[in-house]
Amino acid sequence: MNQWFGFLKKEWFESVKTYKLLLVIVIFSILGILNPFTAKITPTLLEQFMPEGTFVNLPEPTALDSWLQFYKNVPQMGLIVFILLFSTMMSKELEKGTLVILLTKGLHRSTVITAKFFMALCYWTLAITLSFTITYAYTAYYWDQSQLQHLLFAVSCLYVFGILLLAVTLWGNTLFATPYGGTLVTLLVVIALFIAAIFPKSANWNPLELLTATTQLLTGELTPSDLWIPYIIALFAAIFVVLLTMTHFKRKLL
Amino acid sequence: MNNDTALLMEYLPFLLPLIILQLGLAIFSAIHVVRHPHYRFGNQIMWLLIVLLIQFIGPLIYFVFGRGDDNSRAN
Repeated sequence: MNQWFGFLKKEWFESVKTYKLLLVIVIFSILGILNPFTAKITPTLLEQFMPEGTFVNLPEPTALDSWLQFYKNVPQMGLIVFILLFSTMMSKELEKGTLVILLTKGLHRSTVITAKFFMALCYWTLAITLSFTITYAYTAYYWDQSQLQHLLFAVSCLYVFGILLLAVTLWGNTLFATPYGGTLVTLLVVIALFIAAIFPKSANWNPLELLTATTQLLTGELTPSDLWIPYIIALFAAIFVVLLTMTHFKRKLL
Repeated sequence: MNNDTALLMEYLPFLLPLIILQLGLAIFSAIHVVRHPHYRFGNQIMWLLIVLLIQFIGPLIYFVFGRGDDNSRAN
């Protein structure tokens, strides 16, 4: 266990020194502010750019608009940013060969994978918490959020989907040992999920549903009980992929 | 004109932190690009343009893919 925390500490210092902490904090704060901002400014912008005399009846933005922006921006921009940021977590060390020294000194290979995954998980938690809190604060200040349902459950869906993608990235990165391997594998998995989502029946199990159903969750059309199968599947798939990565890494020649 | 200032004031709570964060990140990365002239690929002008012109994705790409190691074999 001591070894594990030691390696985790090394990972932490490395991520700070490679500016990951800075980038995560800045980018996810920007994303958090953008959501209520876009929701609030869109009607004003449209009014400004409409030709003189046109009458448009635009509804006042509500708290739902702000959260719709959140569930549009964070899964798209946020996840892309995050996967890019952590797409080199294994390949960098494999390329430079810095792990060989540690492994020959008796560091377990499973320690490397779990500590790296845990570190990325901590960053993902930080990122989601940050943008969620900022959006929540602005939205609470400008609008009444009382009619929104399952706000926390909806964001946890996004969180779980992020964990799954993170595990897949780590796996691809370990398998191919190139910076682009992880991103490519993640892209392929997302495309596969989208293809599966074409079939309406797949909505029962497809983890992608965790992202697309958030809007209906907020309006109350869906309840958390409708989503528990994709939820559990995403969690178990993430654990399975991490275990798979460990077995791959154990057999890998460095 | 008066209308515009009122509009600006209304959105200031959003604009101020956004501008500070975006500009701060762009300037910080630009300084980093100039002070560490070793990149994994590309040259200084290319990275400066990327960092300054592409909002928050530019600095990200630079720090993840473009930034060379300080003690790496210069290529």
